[in-house]
Amino acid sequence: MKTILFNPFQKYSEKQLFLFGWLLTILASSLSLFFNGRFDGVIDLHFVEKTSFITASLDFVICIGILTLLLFITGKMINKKTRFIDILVASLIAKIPFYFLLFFNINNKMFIITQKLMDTISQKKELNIETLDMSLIVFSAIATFICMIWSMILLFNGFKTATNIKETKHILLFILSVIIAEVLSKIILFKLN
Amino acid sequence: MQPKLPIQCPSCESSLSVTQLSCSNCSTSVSGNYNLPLLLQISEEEQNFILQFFLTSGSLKEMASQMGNSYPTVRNKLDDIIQKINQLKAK
Repeated sequence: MKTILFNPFQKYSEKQLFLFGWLLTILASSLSLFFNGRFDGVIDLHFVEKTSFITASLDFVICIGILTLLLFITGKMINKKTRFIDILVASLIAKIPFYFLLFFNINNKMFIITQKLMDTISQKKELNIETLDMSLIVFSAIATFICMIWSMILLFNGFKTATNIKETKHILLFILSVIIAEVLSKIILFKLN
Repeated sequence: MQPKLPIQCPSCESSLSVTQLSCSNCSTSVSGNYNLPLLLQISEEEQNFILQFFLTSGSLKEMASQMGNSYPTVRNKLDDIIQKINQLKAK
């Protein structure tokens, strides 16, 4: 169970993982239309008022594409035997934990609460949020934190299996690549929007 | 139970060498000081891996499906053994 949840790359073939990751990505892009979620960054999920099919698809293509490309270049620098498919699979699978967070925005609930919170802060009004809404914010924050850690563990294990990294400098290169991918995807998506 | 060939000194962890060989048929014994061949200096698990690699004609994909592991996991294991053998050769 631990292997399936945190390091499926060790056991399962790239074909199985690619198929699974791809199917879930398609499912998540459909769900993001329904729940108005935008995966507008490598490690991001934001709820908006309304999202479109083109925006949702573009988010996935740009984020997964940039992350895969940067990690592949880094992987090739570390180990010449690194294969593109293994990095692509790691990027696809590592996104899965974030897909569960979409369910926090049933009926645009999360978007309405955060919008209300933002308005209160910007207009310097007194904070007036219901206990249930506050509980939802706290619960979603905890869930987001857990999913982010889970996603990073998956991405690191996928990268480690693809490149056979062992040294600390290689781990630092991996972290740097993820940060650059996050910044780049944000800039590109901002320019496109 | 098949006894395991010790390759490291249990006291100081240095590599062991062969000092005596004997014939089980006529009890003739030969004494000397012979270093263990490279392939015997690696662990039993690694020796089995190399044997399986040989038996699958060097197909890592076939090995991966036989072992129930992914291709990169098997390739990484092979790379680690190659690195270990290169280090032993350099000694």
